[in-house]
Amino acid sequence: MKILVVAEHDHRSLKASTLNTITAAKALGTDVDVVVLSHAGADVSHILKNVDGVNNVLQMDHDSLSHMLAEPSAEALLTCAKKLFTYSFSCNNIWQKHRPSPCRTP
Amino acid sequence: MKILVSVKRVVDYNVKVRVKADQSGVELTNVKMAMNPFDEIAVEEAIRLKEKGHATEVVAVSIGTAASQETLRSALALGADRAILVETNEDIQPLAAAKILKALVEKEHPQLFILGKQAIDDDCNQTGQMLAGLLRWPQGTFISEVEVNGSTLTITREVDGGLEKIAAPLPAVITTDLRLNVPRYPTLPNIMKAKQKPLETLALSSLHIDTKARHTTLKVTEPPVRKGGIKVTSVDELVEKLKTVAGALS
Repeated sequence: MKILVVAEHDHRSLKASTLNTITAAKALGTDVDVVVLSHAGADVSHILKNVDGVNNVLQMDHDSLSHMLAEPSAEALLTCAKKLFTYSFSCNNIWQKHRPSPCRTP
Repeated sequence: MKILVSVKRVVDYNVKVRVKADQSGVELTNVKMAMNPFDEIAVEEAIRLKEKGHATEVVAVSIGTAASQETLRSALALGADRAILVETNEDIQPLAAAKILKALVEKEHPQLFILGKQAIDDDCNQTGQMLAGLLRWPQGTFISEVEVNGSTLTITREVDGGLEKIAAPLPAVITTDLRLNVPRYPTLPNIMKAKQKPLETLALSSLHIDTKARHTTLKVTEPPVRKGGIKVTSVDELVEKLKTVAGALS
């Protein structure tokens, strides 16, 4: 099972809850990828490359993702999930609270 | 502007819930039921928006058994103008609830939909977000303040790091947090008046919506009982207990 974890960050550093989520994903499957939604090339993906158990780090960069609002994030994740994944996970942090969860592909 | 508010009938928050003997769920027979507290805040906010002159009509909606009429009546007693019940005996999960509410939006054409951020029975916190997603409307979740400026909402959201302020065009979906307002108590005359207000009942089957459950509950268990502490007489004994019993020192 391919699993996609959504990284939570503030465009500078990674939130620790992302690591908890990766560990949870690892408990369910070995094929874990992480996606970073960013804008203006803000780069937190280098931190993720060293995390144990992460296969690939994907980055989606767009101006509409600068405030991490629900609507553009959902749109971005939906595209990502439809193409590549069977399940996705996100931290139950500010993010999941305002994001719809459309990321389970049919 | 017309406002739709959804209310859910749940076990009263004062009731100490018990798990059924067969662990299939929570005991609901002979248990006091009430309106979900977050939905009460949603109804109150809709009424306040009406009192401020932003809204013309407040419609309370619910999904559930015929008993949910009682919950809708209490929304009417608080000040909603009319109510719609989508009647079903099925267990409705968040995605199905969002689809049903979407059907009601298409029927009623409101400008604003207010929901409680979550119901205190399943704590899902999904319906509002899913409804916004299905409608492709902007969403403001966990709001502690809302202001209407013409066709735009200014919303203050409660997030982990503090408060987030966003602006969203109408129509929109918003979900309430605890600090948004303190709901009023219904007055006796209003409770009497609520009995006369229109309450429309729709059968779920008439809406032709796929409400199939997407997940199943395997079992429900009580949280582990907290064990009492013990008194120790000396530091040596304390260290000994910490090593052997608590496993705190190694």
